[in-house]
Amino acid sequence: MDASVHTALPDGVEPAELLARNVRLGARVWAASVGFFFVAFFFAFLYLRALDTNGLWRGWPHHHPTPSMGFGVAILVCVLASAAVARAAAMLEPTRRRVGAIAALLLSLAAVALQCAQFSSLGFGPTDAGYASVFVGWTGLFALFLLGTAYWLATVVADVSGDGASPAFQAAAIEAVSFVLIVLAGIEIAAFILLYLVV
Amino acid sequence: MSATAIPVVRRPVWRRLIGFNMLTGLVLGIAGWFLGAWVGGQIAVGHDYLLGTDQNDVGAFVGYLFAVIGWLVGLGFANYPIGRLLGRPPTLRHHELGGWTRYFRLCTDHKVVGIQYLFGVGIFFFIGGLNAMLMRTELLRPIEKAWPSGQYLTLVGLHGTMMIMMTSAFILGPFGNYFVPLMIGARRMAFPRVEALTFWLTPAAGLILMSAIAFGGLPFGWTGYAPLAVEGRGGVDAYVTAFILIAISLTLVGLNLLVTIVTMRAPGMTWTRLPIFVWGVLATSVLMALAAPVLVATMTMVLMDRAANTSYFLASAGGSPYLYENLFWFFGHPEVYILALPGFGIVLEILPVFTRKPLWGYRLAVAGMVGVMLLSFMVWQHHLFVSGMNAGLRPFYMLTTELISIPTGFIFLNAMGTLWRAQIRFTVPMLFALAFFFNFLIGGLSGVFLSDVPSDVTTHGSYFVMAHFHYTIMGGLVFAFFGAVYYWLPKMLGVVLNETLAKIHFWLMFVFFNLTFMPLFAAGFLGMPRRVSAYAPHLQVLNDFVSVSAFVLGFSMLVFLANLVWSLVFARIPAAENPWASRGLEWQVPTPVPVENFERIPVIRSGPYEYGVPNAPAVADFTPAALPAAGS
Repeated sequence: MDASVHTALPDGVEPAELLARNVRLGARVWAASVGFFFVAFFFAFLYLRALDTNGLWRGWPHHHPTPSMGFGVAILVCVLASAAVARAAAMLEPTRRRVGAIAALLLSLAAVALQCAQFSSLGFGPTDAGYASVFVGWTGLFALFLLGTAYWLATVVADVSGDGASPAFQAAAIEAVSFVLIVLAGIEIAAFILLYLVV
Repeated sequence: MSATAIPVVRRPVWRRLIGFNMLTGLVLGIAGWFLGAWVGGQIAVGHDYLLGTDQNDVGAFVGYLFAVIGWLVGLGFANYPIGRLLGRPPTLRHHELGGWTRYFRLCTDHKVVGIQYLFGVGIFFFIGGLNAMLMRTELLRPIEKAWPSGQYLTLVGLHGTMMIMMTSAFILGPFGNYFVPLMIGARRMAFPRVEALTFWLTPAAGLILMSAIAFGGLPFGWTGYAPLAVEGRGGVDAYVTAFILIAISLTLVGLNLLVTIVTMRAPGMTWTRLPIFVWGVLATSVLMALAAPVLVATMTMVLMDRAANTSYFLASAGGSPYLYENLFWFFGHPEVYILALPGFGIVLEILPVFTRKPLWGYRLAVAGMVGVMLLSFMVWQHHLFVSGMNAGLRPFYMLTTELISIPTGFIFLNAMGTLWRAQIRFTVPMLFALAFFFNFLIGGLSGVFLSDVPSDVTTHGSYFVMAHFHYTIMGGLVFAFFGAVYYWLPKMLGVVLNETLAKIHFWLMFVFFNLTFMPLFAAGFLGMPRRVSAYAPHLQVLNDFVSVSAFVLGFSMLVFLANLVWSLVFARIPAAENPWASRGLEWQVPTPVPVENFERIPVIRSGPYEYGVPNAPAVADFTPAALPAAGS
């Protein structure tokens, strides 16, 4: 381990290399935590679907919730594109990171906005039995996590737009947030397959 | 090394009350609760399904949400995130200098956070203990006497939930935060603001949980099984919110400690030189980071079932209460090891110091902890043996549960090997460490009965289970906690605790702990069910004996409190820098520990347990010429 990494600076700002390493590893652990959070919904989907208690998994008789495939595809595309663009931005020259980070941020926010729009015209509600419960919970909380990640992206945009954070930290931060977005994209793919295709 | 002087800014007391601190947090939290309850009511007005319950759960949850936001804003947690959004550079420090007011506000010094945890969690531990005293008072008679059964059940639920919530952070909160950076040669935690946040969520959770009393109480124990959790009165909203907050806190504690240990070790602090306590913390951190999010998700599902009328857990609408049991115990069993693993770390940390011998089988101990960590994710269904689970799954979970006794046995082997032919110093920390092994052995052996399907079927839901987990959690974790308190408090608070009072505390606690819980195995075998205040008349003598023992056990805690107050407020005998002659890195720094911990980052030269090893080098070089000083 490089000993110089541990030297504190007079104003309390830690060495950029140490901050960068912490952010990178922290993002990976956070991504694992987020993954386990959604494992609960993944399990709930499989468990309730398999049990089909009282034949109510797909909703009440004569009312089977069917979410809009158009919204589902649009949200999926936005999340995947956001992750891909953020990853690409992490690999770009420092001078070009800003554009990539802003694009990734806008795509994330678009996905959240689309989710809100879908909720406003869903055609069913959380009370429509098993599948509807899992759908509303999984997609709603996913949007919340995406919004939190969008905040993180916004701080990255602020960093690359100004001169407050060191280049090493900027690079680590965008790499870290792109990693979390990739994991979220994976979760969104699973959600799309289960909630829209398998049902 | 020399201590870094802490400049204290003197301001009038009234001026110190204004600003971002606990008082502001309380005011904004209370205002937030009222505002949130009103907003929640407005949200519910337009949605029939939100109003489809007999109480305003939406208002309750939004009230709690706004209260927590107000609490955190008042403490100053919103300032940095907003600043970052405006392009301010990332920093790790906030209010690390100053006097006693540091302890009542957001402070990023890991030592301040450790002490905040020690007192904060300690207060809730005593409240949980008082609940236990009230329960034992009720159980002096076989029929309902002091409280109706509903209130008794609320007491049981509050006691269990508060103890589980608070003891989860009982060791990692105070000692993990305070000592891990010192033990690995770091100046701070990886994410100091997150560290502070994890603490300040804890009192919010505790207060919200206690508010359950005002909203109809709890109809269950700490496990909060559905459908009771979905259909219970408003107190359940408090239970759900408190558990979500604690689970978020646990996740972040795990993340922070994990990253700190991996990235911030001093040069020369290789994995094989890592103190065994830090290994225990590392294993626990993994469990926290992965298991606690599942609890957040589970409690969020309960929240949605209650407030939005979803049906995750209601069979009448396509859900299943078994889903709750599975998800809860997927967190709940690793939680048991979240409680146990730091205890293992502490007692193995203490043993070599007071036997003056190297820790026997260091790598075996590490393997044991990692083994427990991995296996703990594969055993949760043993809690469902009598819940109607698929009978074909029982042997698998019985086997995995029994397997976990093997890595746990490693820890006992380490202890026996270290104690073998040692010249033991029977100091108070050592007494608590030895008592840990005695108690945990009984807890572990009784656990085998519960992992075995035939015997579990007959003992499930009885006082046998209650006695078992109190032997592991109180007999294990709480004894390890007090061992750590007596071992590390001289470094944390800079004063020596009175040894006579400490020994009185130990013997009272050890003897009456066993007199309280040993008879409960018999009560369980005799058919006494948990969580019920009425019992068969022929069990009264046994229960009276247990109640009296429990009261003395509770009194032993007062002896500890008296010792703490006496030593801290009145006697104030300064502690030596290294009173136990320990090789631990944390004992090589001055008392009180400087804000920067180390004037220069040390270079680690040898392991921490090389007691009696001829020509063993000093544990660290504190003046490596190549490394610049702090602030230079």
